[in-house]
Amino acid sequence: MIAILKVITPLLCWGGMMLSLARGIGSGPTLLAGGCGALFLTGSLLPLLVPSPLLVVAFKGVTAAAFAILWLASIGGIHGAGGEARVGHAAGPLAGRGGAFLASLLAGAGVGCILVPAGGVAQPMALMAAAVAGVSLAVAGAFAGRFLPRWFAPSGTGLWALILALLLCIASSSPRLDLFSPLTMRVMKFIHDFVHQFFESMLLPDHPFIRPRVWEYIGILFSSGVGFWGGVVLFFAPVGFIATAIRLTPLPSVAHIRRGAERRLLMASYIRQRRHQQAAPILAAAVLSLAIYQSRFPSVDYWDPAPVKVTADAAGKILIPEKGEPEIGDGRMHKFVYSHGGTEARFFVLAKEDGEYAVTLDACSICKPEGYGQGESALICYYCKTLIPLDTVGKPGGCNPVPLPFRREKGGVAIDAPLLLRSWDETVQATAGGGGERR
Amino acid sequence: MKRAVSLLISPRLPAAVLAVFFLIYCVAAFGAEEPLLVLMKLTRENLPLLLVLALLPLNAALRLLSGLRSMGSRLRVMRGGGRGEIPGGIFAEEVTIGAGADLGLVKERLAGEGFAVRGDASSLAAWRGVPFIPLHRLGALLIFSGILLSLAWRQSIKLPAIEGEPLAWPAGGGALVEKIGLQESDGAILSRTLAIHLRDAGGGRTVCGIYPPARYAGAYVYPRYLGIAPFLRFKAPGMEREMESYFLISIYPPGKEDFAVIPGTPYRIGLSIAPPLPEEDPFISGRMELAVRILKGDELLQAGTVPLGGRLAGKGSELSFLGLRRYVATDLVMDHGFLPVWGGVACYLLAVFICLPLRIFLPRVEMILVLRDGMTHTAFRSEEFGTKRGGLYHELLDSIEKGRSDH
Repeated sequence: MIAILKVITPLLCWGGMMLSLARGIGSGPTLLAGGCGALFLTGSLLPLLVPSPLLVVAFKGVTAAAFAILWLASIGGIHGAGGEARVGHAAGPLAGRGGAFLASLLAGAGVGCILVPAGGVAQPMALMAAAVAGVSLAVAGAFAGRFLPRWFAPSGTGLWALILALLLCIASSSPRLDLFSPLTMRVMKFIHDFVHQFFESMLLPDHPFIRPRVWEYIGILFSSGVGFWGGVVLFFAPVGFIATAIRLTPLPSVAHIRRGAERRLLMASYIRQRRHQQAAPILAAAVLSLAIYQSRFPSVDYWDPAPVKVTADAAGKILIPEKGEPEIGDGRMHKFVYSHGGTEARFFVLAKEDGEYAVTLDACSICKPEGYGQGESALICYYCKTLIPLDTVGKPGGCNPVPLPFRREKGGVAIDAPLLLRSWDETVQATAGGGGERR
Repeated sequence: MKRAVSLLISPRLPAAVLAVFFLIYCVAAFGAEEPLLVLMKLTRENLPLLLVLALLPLNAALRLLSGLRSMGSRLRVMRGGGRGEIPGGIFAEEVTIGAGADLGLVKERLAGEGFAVRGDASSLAAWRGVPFIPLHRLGALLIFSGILLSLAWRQSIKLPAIEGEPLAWPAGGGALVEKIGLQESDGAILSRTLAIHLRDAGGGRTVCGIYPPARYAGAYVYPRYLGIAPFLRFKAPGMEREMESYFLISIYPPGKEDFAVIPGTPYRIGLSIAPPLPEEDPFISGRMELAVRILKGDELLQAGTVPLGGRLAGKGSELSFLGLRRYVATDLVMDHGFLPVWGGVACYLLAVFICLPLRIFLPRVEMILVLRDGMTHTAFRSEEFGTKRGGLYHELLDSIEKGRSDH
């Protein structure tokens, strides 16, 4: 029952997709309900046949590719906007049905993935319940489409922007499927790399020589705000392009009509139709806003223990015992803090499924050191919301927490304190102090 | 050939080339941790991609040349008062009216509008404002050329510049680093000034600072970070003889600890600079105490602080802090793209701060009127963003046309 609650928003999005498709493509309701319902059913039951991680990757890959195609189509729309005069532009029946069926399969797969607990097994009953609900919504949507206002008839790129926005909203209901957070991360990464390469290429001096105030200004470029707003721009740009293209498309000529009143009425109806065409991109923008909201504020509780203070012995060794409080071998992340010479270095120990330990800083080399929380099968970076699969914790790179060398000895895990402080200092402190990331 | 040139000069070409690289970046972003580095490496090692990148400076050069050529042709026509042949395509509008104009009246009207007018009874050239110089195209040419040169041929090696040691190329030789000086600075961007004093074998001296980077042996000297290498003497039980050396370790700025490992022995010495006096930088003053931990494996033998010139002894080991050498971790970079990129940035700044205001406030407007075979041949071009002067041109044409109908 609780599992079903998780898919209420995705199912509502699916209902919205069916209503839009019912008005947007020229197929009869029976064919639409039958085809889309069957493919939703297939998609939602896929987790019973395909491993969930593979399905998640496939869902994200296909949705991202569709988004890239929408981007190209929207640019093409702007480019051709000054050309042929028209009002509305419907896709061919074959392309329309093909797109509708693919979207249905993806929506079903998305709902199915949300129902499978991360690292867990698919519950057939929950999947069946979601599939039945989805098929019912498909039938209801296909036939209810005719009761929508007549002016709402999304077509062309506007229709597909709305469908894709609803798919992205389904995706953002689960941190595992979400595409917005990885996008913001990649925007941040690009800006970071670009600034770094610019400094390198132009032989610009680094921290030891530059005034801290100047670093604070440069640090603005590395803030999560830049990644977030960059992601927002990339998310909304196609919808904006489509709305602009609709606005820029010339209206059909009425010069052949010699009666003034008739000419003006026809022109007014063309203008009205063109305004109604804007409904799809505007709705898509609203749905994308919801997707971004869900992505930024996921309804997931993360395990985030308070860091336990540790000390080092005279040789600079920090020993974390395996047994005791906390018990570090329980598969959960355990945070520690070591203070020395005014520096506080946070790190955590995690026992992975294979029995190996991972010891890492509670920070990565890209973001501000806001630390990590542990979800079902992944850590989340609180700063950029990137999910780090548990089996990759302990490996360097990207937003993964920075690994620390350690030894297993005397029933515990031993870490070199100077090395910890140096790693914290080199990786993190410039990020925390400069209002942004160290280069 | 003409088709190829029109393709190369097309304003859409840069967008297409950038789209290709953007696409490669997107693919790399999903498969690599460092997509920008992957893109750079791929471009550097792939001749077709380098050729695609080369289309950017080529396009900028062709568009710059084309713009300058038309500007030269127009200036020649204007200087000649509109006499002689007018090359096609250099004006935005060309209109012929089947009536002769009274050029005296036109001249008066245009002079009244602030135009400079030159001509005779059969032709007239009028202009006002400053021609727009396409510095932004020169900027694009320089920046893209710089990126291409840098990507294809940049070489870099890491060398520490250590006081008293030669800044040596791997092949050998090199100037002696006589002194490294660091000073606090109240500059707007840099908080410190650095001077690496080099003396070559012939006695020639060079001082390398922070920015702009100095050149040494054909390469730019790029200071990365500062370091202090303590000069230590150490002996301990089990060592055949005492060791005396300086250690390039990372202990600067104060608070960082690093280890000097004694090769061939189980000994390692944990060193850090003890907190200095407030407002004092040990790199500048040369005054410091070292916080020392002498370890044999993981066993702590001795710990304490040692002033410069002092020693720490106990449990058979003895450490003397004999001196220190400053060093600067530097990169020697050979990059022919460095200057073109900065040149391009300067061009863009000039374009934004000089050319753009000139175009907004003093836009160039040019007009030609030529009487030939009882007709008036006219040409017009305006660089203004609005259409005010274009309106004037059309008014003039209207009045000439009206003169014909009145007549």
